[in-house]
Amino acid sequence: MPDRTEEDAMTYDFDGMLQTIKDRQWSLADIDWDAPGAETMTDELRAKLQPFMADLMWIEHVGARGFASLATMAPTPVIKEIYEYFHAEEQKHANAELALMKRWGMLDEDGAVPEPNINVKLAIKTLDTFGDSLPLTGLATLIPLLECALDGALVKFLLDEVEDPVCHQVFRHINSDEARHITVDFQVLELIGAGPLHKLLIESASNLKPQVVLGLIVVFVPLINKMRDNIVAMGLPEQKLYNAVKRFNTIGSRGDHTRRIPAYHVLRSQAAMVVNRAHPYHRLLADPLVRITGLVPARLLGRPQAWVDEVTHEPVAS
Amino acid sequence: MTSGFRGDLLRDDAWRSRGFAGQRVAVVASAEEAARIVPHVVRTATSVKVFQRSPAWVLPTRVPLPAGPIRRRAARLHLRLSVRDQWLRRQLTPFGDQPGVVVRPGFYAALQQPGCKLYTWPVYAIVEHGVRSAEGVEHRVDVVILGADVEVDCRVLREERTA
Ligand SMILES: [Fe+2]
Ligand SMILES: [Fe+2]
Repeated sequence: MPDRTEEDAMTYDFDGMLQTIKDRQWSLADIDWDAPGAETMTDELRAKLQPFMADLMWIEHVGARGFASLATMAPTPVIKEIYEYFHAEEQKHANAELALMKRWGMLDEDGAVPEPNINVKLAIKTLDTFGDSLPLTGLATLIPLLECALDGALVKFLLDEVEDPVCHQVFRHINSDEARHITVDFQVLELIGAGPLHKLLIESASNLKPQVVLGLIVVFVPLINKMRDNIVAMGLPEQKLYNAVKRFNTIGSRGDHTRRIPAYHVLRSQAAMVVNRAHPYHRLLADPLVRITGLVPARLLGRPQAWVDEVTHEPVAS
Repeated sequence: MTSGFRGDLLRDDAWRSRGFAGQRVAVVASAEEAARIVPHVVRTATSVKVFQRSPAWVLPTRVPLPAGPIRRRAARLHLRLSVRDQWLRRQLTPFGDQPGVVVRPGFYAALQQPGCKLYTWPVYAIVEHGVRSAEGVEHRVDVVILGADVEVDCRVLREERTA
């Protein structure tokens, strides 16, 4: 029999959220990609933003793959359907960001998708290999952390830098999607956290399978650090990164049950180290890993799975 | 029934009695149903986009195996041997507690024909020229076939109902 706390956590209206998600769908075809405003993109800004946009687009695309994995382990059928929508929506964000890159002349003549950097390639490889077998609590905690960082720091930075009204129109859609993602992410943590403690501990123990832990460290530590260094070098105030992590803490501690999830505590302290440039974490682990992974020849990773080629800037396909 | 869609919207078994020469077709259905529809449609259509609502275990023919885990194993093996592409195979794999295994000849072969492509994006609207799915793309087609078990959740039809 469920105890009281479990019942309380069950009261979030996931059905209502699913209906809202269906009602708020938008399409690249809704947007006039040739509307005036592209000329506000200066050569200087274009050169500065091109690698940033490519990283952002790839992180959305990889995030999409993360939701595809989450959908296979969702605690209820309704949450599964929500994750299937989120999988598609993250791909939509990647598509829209690629379309913005095309509008701003950041793609080559054929409109080819920019090559992901080695750290993104490693993340793709890890998701292809372990994604569907990662423990639910780990993945369900990692995703909101990445979403807080993406939403709170990267996207706000972009909107501060870019004047183009089409960009602002696109990100109004993306931001309202992301607000729903973050709501659901944390409500699911509440639901999982309200479950029996022994289940949480067993899940965490499986979290500790050495090859999985090693995979996650080698992949996500340098991925995040490299991105962080890139954007700080471009002029992103570090304060914004702190705020993003603070948000993860604030929302997570607002719930009654999230704090019972061990993975939440692990990632919370991990995130605190990432934003604290003075922490030995960078000198001892993250920076060396950025250098080492930079030396990995991409061909060692083999061909990624076909989902990687699905990103498109075309609003209409026939 | 009319929607804002200019092409043919086919429901139930309406796809059985006709060919699709020169036409681009979208099939929106569960795997169970798509596995009936797609082998027929690919024979004549110019292109087929299959928007699979939910995957299912499929065997190409009746086999003398007891229902349950053994038959699912056989279905998994059939998938493994019929589909080389890892991502396509994943898209076709049911996760979690799956009930039964359906018998449908030719589904995997049909999906891998040159003009055919499988999507798992949710379709949220049927519009004037085709279907819109949640990855943000409008897929232009001449014919939309809706599986009988698909609860249509599309904007145009809903607006008409309230009008
Ligand atoms: Fe996103
Ligand atoms: Fe998101």
